[in-house]
Amino acid sequence: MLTLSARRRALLASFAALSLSAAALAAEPSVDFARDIQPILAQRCYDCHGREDNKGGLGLTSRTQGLRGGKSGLPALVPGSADKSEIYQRVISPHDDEAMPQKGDRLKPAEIALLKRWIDEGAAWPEDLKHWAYVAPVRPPVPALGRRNSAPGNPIDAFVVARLAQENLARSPEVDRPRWLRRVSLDLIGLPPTPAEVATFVADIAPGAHERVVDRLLASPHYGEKWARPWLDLARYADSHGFQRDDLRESWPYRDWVVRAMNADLPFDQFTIMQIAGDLLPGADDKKNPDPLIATGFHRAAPTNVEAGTDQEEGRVNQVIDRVNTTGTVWLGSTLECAQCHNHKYDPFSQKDYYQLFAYFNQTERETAFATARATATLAFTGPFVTLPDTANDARRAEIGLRLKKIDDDIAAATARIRADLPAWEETARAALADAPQSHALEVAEFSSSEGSPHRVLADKSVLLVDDVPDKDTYTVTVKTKLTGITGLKLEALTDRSLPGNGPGRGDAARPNFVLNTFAVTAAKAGGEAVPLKFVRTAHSFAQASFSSANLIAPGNTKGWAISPQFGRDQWVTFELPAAIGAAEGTTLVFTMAHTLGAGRSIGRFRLSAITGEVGAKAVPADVAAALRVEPAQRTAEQTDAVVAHVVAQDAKIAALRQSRTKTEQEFAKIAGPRTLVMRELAEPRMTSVLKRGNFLDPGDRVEPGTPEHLHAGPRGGNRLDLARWLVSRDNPLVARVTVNRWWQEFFGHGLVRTPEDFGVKGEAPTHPELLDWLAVELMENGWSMKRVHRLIALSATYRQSSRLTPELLARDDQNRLLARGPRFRLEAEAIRDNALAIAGLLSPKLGGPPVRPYQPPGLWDAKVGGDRVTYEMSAGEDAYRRGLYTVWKRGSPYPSFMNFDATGRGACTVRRSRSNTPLQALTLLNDPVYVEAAAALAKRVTQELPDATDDARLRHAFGLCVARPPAAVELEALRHLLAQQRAAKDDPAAWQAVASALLNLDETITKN
Amino acid sequence: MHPLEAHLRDVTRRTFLKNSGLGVGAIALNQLLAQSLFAAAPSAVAARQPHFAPRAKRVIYLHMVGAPSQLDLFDYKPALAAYDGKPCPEEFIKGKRFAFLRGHPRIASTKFTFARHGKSGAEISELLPNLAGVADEIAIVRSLHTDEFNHAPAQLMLHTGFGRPGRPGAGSWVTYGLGSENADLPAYVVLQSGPLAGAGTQLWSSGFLPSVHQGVQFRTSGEPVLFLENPKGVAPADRRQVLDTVRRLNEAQLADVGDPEIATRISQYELAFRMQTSVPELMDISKESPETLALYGAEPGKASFANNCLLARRLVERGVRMVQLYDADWDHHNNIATRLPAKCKDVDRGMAGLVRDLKQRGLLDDTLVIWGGEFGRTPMAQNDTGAGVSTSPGRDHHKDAYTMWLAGGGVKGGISHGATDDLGYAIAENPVHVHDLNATVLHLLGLDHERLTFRYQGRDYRLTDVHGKVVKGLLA
Repeated sequence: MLTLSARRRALLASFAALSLSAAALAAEPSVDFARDIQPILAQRCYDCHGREDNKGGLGLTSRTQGLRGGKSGLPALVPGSADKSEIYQRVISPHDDEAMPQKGDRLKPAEIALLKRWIDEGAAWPEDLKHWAYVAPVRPPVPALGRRNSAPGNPIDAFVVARLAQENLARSPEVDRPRWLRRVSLDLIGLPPTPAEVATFVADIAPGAHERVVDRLLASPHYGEKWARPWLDLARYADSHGFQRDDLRESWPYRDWVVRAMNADLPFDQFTIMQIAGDLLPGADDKKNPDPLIATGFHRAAPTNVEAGTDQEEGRVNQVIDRVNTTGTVWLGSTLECAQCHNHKYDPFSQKDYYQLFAYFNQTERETAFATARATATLAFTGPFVTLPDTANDARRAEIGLRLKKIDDDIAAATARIRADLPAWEETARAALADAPQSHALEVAEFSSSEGSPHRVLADKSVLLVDDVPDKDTYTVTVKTKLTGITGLKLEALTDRSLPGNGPGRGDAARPNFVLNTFAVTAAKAGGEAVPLKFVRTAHSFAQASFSSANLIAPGNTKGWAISPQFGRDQWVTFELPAAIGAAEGTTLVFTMAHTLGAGRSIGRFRLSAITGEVGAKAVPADVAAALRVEPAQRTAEQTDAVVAHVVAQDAKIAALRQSRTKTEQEFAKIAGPRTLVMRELAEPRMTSVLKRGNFLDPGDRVEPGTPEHLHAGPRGGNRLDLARWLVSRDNPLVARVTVNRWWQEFFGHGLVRTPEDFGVKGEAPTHPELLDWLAVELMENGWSMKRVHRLIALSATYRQSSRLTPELLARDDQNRLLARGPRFRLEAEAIRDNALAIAGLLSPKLGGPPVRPYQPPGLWDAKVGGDRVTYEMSAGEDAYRRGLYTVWKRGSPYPSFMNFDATGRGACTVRRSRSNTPLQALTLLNDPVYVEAAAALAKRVTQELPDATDDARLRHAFGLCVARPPAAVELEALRHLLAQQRAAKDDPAAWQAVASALLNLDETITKN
Repeated sequence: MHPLEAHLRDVTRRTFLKNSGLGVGAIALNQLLAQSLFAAAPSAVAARQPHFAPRAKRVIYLHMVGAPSQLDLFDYKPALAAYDGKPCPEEFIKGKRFAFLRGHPRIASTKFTFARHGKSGAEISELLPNLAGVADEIAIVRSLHTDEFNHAPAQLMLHTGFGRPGRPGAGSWVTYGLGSENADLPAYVVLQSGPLAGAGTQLWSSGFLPSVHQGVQFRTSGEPVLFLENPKGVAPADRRQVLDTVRRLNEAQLADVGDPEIATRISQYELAFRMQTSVPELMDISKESPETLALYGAEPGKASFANNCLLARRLVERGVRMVQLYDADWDHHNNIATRLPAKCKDVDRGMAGLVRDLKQRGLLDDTLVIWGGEFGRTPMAQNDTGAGVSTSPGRDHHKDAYTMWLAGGGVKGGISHGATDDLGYAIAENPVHVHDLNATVLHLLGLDHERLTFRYQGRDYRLTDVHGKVVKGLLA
């Protein structure tokens, strides 16, 4: 337990980063280690002389180490004499080989001066000093203010004003009501206020008008949509796996859960526990309330490498690492990842600590598997999921289930009948069958694909294509056979579980069709030349309209053979030769099968056979014919099965039943309830070891689950649920500070700690340490209510200040660290689009549901190495105008306009997006069809809403829709001028659209002002 | 001073003074304007001083996506012939991991002829006859190695220094370190032939660096840059009127609230407008001489690697700092005998033409050209039938030894660096990790890879993570 004075010192230390002017520093009476010196050591020395490395034998994390010095034998510190202290000599040394720091820039003169004064003053170094962030926050007293300041709004303001007073600065004046309303609307629900809302608020002169607005916004269902966005950045939530096989996956119910949880103001501690360990909560498997399971989607959102040939264990370990690091960033504001390979250099996390945390997350199953037992290179995405209750379709699903069962029963009955009737059937069929034409599966000697598609030759002599599906593909197959009397050839297109939709085509799971455009064969006798074969006719199991197999032998054929809609079952085509071929000494046949349509419409598994006997009759597989020659009693089980399978395959009734089953399955799939990815603890715990240098192939000492030694006391052992409870323990010094700090960042553009992802010694100290602690305690002591804290911030006078940047403020505090003005920042990517659509009246207010696909330029998803082919089909109707939150997030090819506005691919946890200002942003707002359409809609809206009004009234209305305030004279004049210019050459709608486009491009329109 | 800027400065200053009602702020205001209009605006991308004198000012990076076979192109191993078709030595597979090879694979020697070229006598395969003609300009590094053996992680490793998503690529680091030399074009441009690489657009995303540093894809079909073209029915004159209005209103806002970001935005809109002219002009290669087109094998209007090579020259000519060309379909697990020659035909003339053209225009001295894949390929054949029959073999991924070449920009031409063992399996001398390559690229650009850092999530991140040594042997 730390003393209060230690805590005070830690708090004081946090002022260190605030060096607003040299004058302020010079006014400090004496050097304080925590405030002035430790940050220098941490920032400039600990890379080499920190907890981990002691280059030259020197560590600088305690006074004792400094007094002792390094290998040189010279003390780094000689209290009272900087000149005799090696540390000082090195930082001022002009000689490159001995000057410190060796890495990075030299110390600034002010830093050197501080160091010298500190040593000369005796190098005081309190031994019990603990970094401020690791000391649990205690609610500080709210500053009492003197008469000089006007009454602050709430405690937040007292802290801010007290800090400003120290700097002799005053708050900025209050922002006007329309601007505040727009600011708070954008901050709380991510949408601009409507003109009616502006009018109501401006007219509401009764006390409590601001409170009424904030309460209305906090109760809006759009609140959760706005606040889910930063959380989903933390959760690196996306709708695809990432990496080369960047296929889409279904996890959006997790995204919707976040929105619902925020709207319901689910206490942040519960919000945490459910996401980290909802699956381990009592009642987690209650089918009526899957929320605790859905919430665990947080950590299933880690990218998954499903690229063929990936080491699956390496992939799994990388995901666990991601989960540990993300947990550290989100709940501890700490960069644990440094401790993956070695003890953390600056912060008190050992490598052992890291792998103890790792052990908590090491208890879930691998999320990839071989696609099939045969295709051991191709991986499938697996792992636990939960199917959501979906009452709307439950009845229909039950009904289809019954139908499926009926079909299965019918097939079983028909098959049983065939077995029973077999002796009778054989009586009549045996003689004929034994002499019937036979098909002989040909052994593949060589296979090649023009696109290099890998393949497997299976035991039944069929060829299975695996891995990535090229657009078009031509197969060349060489076989050698000693058969004679070959009267025809047979190509079977077969289904396989590893193919999308079971095949036989490779293109897509919904329509696994193929189009075989050409089928050419050459034959060569041993030592002879290859001669192209001609065919007299074809027959097929099925062909789709105008894609008959006859095309394959027609002169000038281009269309070829296809099988829609009879996917999901085996198909065949036979080719009859004009005269028998084949020589006893051997014949080499080379087949060329071209699929030139594109979109992966190639055959996924096929078998080639030679037919002997009359081709016109149905050829019997050679093995069946052979079995039939054996007395039934003498047959092996395989032979009996082969005969039964053959008869079953010939049975028209069973064929019809099977096709009906495929169709019914598809019907079922269409109304399958939504699924979402979840975490599930393994039944048998997995052992965890320290991974030396972070290498999963080099395990070291075994560790048990546990929490970091230097943080608050936690469980030894246990599971993720224990970890989750530890994270939100009242004793955790970090979690509440880290959380309120991120919220503050959303309101003010920056956190009170400006390194919201790093509260460690190398992070920035808080600008307002007491305010941060006050807010953290406020959160914890009030049921972890997020809305309560948001309400406080939104209603503070600090937040109500004008954002105008005066020259004085620019000179004193251009970054607004002191909060002497209101926030002014560009909106985030999604909000820019949401805002434009709302202004235009296009935005759909629909909440939740599967990801949507608004307009994006064509072709962006089509051509990529690896993964399923998914053509980006724009969503229909209102789904094209949903909030950005719902836009499908494909990691390898995210929505381009969001990327232009600093969104990320969501491949890793992001605490703050960058906020850049680029020409591509201008081009997006000017030319992206989404914004072009928004401009047209805004123009139309204004004319429709004010049908008989003057130009000026309409211009005012349009301007107000965009920025929620009336235009100044000079602004109105600029718009009038544009309208006149445009009218000179264009019709009225086009002229108004130009005006609308200008308005949507204003800096103010895309800025929270 | 640009007349627009003069005007802007004047207007802004007047309005600002009026609104703020402050005379005393005039000096500070002037500072604000100086910063915001002329410094802050381009500050994120303005040309910046390197750490030390650079040898290269620009980089053209030719990435063969999928990983070409070094054993059939640059790393000639006659000893392999003796083992052709025989099981590989036990130590090749013991404790090693491969993407696809299973069981006990067999050695495959190259089926292509090698010859010595140029004064340097560099051994290059018959598949690259044009490149062989510039053998004395290039440095062949036969000892590259990396940590990852699957495509997407290895591509990320090569470009971002880390095998998982989230970090900025070399191009972003370079523009972060050096800014841009062209006011009308992005500093970092990506060109593509064939499908998008496995790791997707993450390869040129700016990761945690501001998105101003992201690579901008220039496309050879459709709009050259997404959203570059005015919507239908909007003539350039219309656009100018809209832009002038936006500018007037933004100026008014700047005058009112004084936020330098507004000045930056004004300048970015002007840059966007200029890009609408400069990009199509750049992408139009039809005015290049017939000799130049022939040198590259480029054909106006076609989408090809050769065209992209020519575009790369046009880009660096205009001061674009980093140009990356991604060419797909080098992942030859099978059919290497036919597919590798076809791919070489796609790139050989273009890349050799690029080196020659840069040289004849005096650009090669300070333009660094890099060619290679994300890893190499095994000396063992990959037979894909799964039935033990070797049909149309190819080679599997190999991370432990492969080849890249560099030219110009302070790299010694006509040398080879590093070597592999007799069977081309392991590095025998002078290993060069991809971190070392990246350290060297930054070094040639005048950047110390240990000093080019960005603080993010509590760490000072570098392109080279905590590794990387400059390969001195490559420096001219």
